[in-house]
Amino acid sequence: MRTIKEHEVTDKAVYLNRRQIIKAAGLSAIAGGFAASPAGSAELKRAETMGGQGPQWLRQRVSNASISNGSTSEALTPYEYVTGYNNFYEFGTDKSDPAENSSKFKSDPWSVEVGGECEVTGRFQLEDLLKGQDIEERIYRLRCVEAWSMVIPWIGFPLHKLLSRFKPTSRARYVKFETIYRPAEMPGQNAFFATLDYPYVEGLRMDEALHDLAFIAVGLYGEPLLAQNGAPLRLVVPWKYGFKSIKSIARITFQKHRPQSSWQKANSKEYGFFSNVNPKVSHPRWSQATERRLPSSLFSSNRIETLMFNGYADEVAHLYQGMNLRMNY
Amino acid sequence: MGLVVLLALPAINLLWQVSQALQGQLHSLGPDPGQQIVVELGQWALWLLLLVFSASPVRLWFGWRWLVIQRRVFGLAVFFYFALHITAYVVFLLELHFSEIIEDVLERPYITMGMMAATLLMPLALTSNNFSTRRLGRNWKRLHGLIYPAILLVIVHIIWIARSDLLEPLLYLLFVLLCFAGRSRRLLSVFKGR
Repeated sequence: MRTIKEHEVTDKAVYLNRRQIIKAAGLSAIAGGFAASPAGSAELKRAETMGGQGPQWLRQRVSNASISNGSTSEALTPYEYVTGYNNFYEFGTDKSDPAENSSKFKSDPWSVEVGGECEVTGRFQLEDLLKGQDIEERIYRLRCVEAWSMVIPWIGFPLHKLLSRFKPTSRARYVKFETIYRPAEMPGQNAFFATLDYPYVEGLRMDEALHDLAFIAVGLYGEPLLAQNGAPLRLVVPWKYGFKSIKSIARITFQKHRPQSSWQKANSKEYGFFSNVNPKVSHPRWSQATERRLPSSLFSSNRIETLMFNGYADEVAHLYQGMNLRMNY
Repeated sequence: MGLVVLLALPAINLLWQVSQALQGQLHSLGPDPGQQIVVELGQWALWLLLLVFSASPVRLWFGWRWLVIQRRVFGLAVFFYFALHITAYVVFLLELHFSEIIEDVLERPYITMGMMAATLLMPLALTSNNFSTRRLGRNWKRLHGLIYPAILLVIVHIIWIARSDLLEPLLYLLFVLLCFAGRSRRLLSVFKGR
């Protein structure tokens, strides 16, 4: 585990203040930005470890993201944990593996293959996919099926603004996503006893995918995504368990039939297609009624009640009206 | 004894990490320190338990007697670590809310397994001394046969707790089954061609 100061919290005010200083200084390069910012130890540590990840054009787009209103006002999870405590089995199954084993991963250049039940198909470069999109920040809760959660300031744009460009037809009832398959850069993909089949597959029903909350993230905390967070683009579906928020998207397919997600394939008794956060429906081996909000400290485990749809019930409950969520887990 | 110090090292390291964490200094426990401590203590209890359980078959098959001779020390170390493991769970994860134990046991069956294993191992720890071997005579050996169900409960505990990566727990199960088979003198005589 990387060594972390116990009470290192990146306060939102500090984070926003720093971003304003970076913008005011007119610098998009990370190193230059940090020279002008309040040099707390957290920031310096980040400058050292990051050294300007991602191509220049992406860093610029991400650092110029507009701050959206209506984000949660809960305390943000510190950057070090967001980027150091990850489930990304393509890089290994320990929480520190993705950060430690992803140095070979190349997220630039990047293209996404789009096809299926839609009018516009083909292979698209990342820069083209982001052209004309308003990049904004959204602070979302992320609830892992393992019963821990974080609060993360993502940067990106709504998924429906991406999907609508491909003009899905009326036959498109589901959209399927796939992670890149690169065993040479992602050692976990050819592990002998890998729990999952690769490439990683996830899917959404079209109405879920077109909901404004469904988000394509290309950055967090003012910087482009690191490999361990799903560089260069990933999904964030905050009302579902975290494994639905597929990382490093390489392929998008519109389908008539429901895709089978990787976790469904690995263990369908425990992981269903919908995987909506639901405190009333236990995982077969543990309850989902509570979660640990990270970071916890030794004498306050930050155990909180899990909210229906991860607290996004007002926005998404209507999508599931009349559905038996115990059977459709 | 050197062995006792060696066996205490993981606990001393964890204690150091805890004191670092409490003082706001650098530590290696990660963002979920309570969980990390409970898991590490459990791992050491498990590895030491597996060592204890392998002592007999190892002597039978390889003639190596060191583990059998040191078995009591290792056994007490197992107790030391699983007692700390349960304490850490109650202190850090339950935050001393004892009423939550009932909830947890009901909603997390792997905890039930763990509690049952601990209950079976307690009398073994309490009788790991010369006074008990003298007083109990032949029954001492019978009592310590409880390690068989206990170790199986421990294996179920860790299989049920595995989020997704089943390889490690299944390897431990394989090891236990090999030790079970290894205790069979009949199997041994077949192999040794006697």
